[in-house]
Amino acid sequence: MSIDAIDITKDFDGFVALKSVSLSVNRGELLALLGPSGSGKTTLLRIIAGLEWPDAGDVRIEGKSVLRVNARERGVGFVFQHYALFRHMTVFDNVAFGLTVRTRHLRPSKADIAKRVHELLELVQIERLVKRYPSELSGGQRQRVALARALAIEPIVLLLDEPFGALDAKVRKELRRWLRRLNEETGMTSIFVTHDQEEAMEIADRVVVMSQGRIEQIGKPAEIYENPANPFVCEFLGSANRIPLTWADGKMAHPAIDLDAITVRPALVGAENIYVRPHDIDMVKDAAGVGTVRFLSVVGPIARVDVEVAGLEKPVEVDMPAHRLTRAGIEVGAPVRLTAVKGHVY
Amino acid sequence: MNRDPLPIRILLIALAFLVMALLIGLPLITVFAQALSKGWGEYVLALLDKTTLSAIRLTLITALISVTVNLVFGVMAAWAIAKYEFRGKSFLLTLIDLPFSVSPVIAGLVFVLMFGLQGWFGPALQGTGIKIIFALPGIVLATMFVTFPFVARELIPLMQEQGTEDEEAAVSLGASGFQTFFLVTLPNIKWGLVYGVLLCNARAMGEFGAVSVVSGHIRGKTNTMPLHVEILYNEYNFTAAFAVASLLALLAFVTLAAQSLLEWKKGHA
Repeated sequence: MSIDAIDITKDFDGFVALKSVSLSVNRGELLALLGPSGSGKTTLLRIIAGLEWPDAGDVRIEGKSVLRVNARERGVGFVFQHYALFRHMTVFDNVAFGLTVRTRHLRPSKADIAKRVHELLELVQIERLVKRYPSELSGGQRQRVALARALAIEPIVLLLDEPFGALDAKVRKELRRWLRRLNEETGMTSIFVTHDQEEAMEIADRVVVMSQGRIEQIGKPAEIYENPANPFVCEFLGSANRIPLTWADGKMAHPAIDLDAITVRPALVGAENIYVRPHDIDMVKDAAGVGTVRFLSVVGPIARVDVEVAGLEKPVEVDMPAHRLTRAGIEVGAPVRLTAVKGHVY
Repeated sequence: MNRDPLPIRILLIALAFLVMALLIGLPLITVFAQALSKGWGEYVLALLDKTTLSAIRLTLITALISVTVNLVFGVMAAWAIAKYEFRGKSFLLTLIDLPFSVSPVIAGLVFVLMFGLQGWFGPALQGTGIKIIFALPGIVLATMFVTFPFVARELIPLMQEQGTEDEEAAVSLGASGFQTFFLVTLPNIKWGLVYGVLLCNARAMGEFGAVSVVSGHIRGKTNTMPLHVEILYNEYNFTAAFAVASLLALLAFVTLAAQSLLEWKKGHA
């Protein structure tokens, strides 16, 4: 189902959680709402689910306004960050809940409910836990139960609030790939909230970057990573070095970092800063270089290096393949020359 | 772990037991000793006295009504306070706590001033023939007032801690308000609720001050067990007085046992 949020504004006792936010979600899409805490992403999700009401604006599902439809009738599957499993019910009863509370003429027979529950538990790969209680499950297992429970009502859309936030890294990766597959196989429109840009980038069809109650940018992961719309998006999607610029004859420069490889649109001439990602900087050992290596950490294939440069408050972060670092003979205290190959100017 | 030397630990523990035994154990033993001082026959006879039985019945009825009402309103108030944000919330909390800080005698007097013959509603009530003061309704009202905080106070922290996610999950899965309450909320607060009801009941049955003011002490009619104990005692009928008192003490034991059982169950849940 397609979802449209139109000019949504929400105010919590003076704290403006959403400022006139508009968003269109295509049918079958897996969309990520990405932003730091307090950016309004969860509020937007809850408004779409009917768990919260906007002060102004409209929510439409398949073009029809659903603001007069409460959460109970909206038919939206919602997965909570902390699972919200019913602790006094077994896994089976949790998953069956949405079916057993239906009015009699809509309720499937007991046998059908059991069949459906088992299918769902198979789908989330925890059939063997059917008789357990939530307290006897690990975090990852609990979240699988929560997913199965939300899917039991055959929701028109699936909404997930930081679904993997409380899980350890390995389980998180596994579950997010599972979600990606589920979306591909069922074609169910899904929106998930996350503050983890890696998670959003890896599985979402499109990513909505939010900050302070506004949408900063919407786009495919590669699009927004390559062309962040503003400094906030640029810095939120990964680390970036902010380098102040001087301008001469329409060309930008920095006394310590070579920026000649980068061209800017005429409209941006005179901008104050350029943002350069750590892996977009070339570093060579050079006795005449103005940078000094202050810190380096080599764990795995990527070496992270902090380079102190005169005139910059913070050291410049540089990432390079570890084997090149060794070959170049770069160590703490070494003088280096820096060349930026790519950057974003605002 | 605690590093205090062994003798100090033993001394402190022994002292605690001694004080408890002196202040609480001894009086309790006295109650039963006095009640049974003339043998079981007299004890049973004292309990089967007509006015005693009527006092027991009145206490049970009063407790039943006031605990039920407090259960319903306590859950409602706790729900409102724990799950909604609204202006005047802390004022409502203070109001709920008020019976704890007001002397029960004053609680009783308030009802006399409102519903007594000279009270605000007195003349109007007289016209309709409804008796509140010196009758069951007054006793129930006074008891309700005094015992109101128990259920609500027990539930508020519990419900606040549990938040609203479970309810939201239930609603988003299609549950109605009633289904959400009975299938999700109630099981979540079950033990706290039982605990609150136990304490509320113990206090409702044992309340003296507030009830004393509104009851009128009509023997066989408006005397609850605690009031009856006092009357018997003032008549130097010690055996009977302590026999009834022993029932109240027994209630305390039952409450305590149930409470420990609950704690144990909660620990194993």
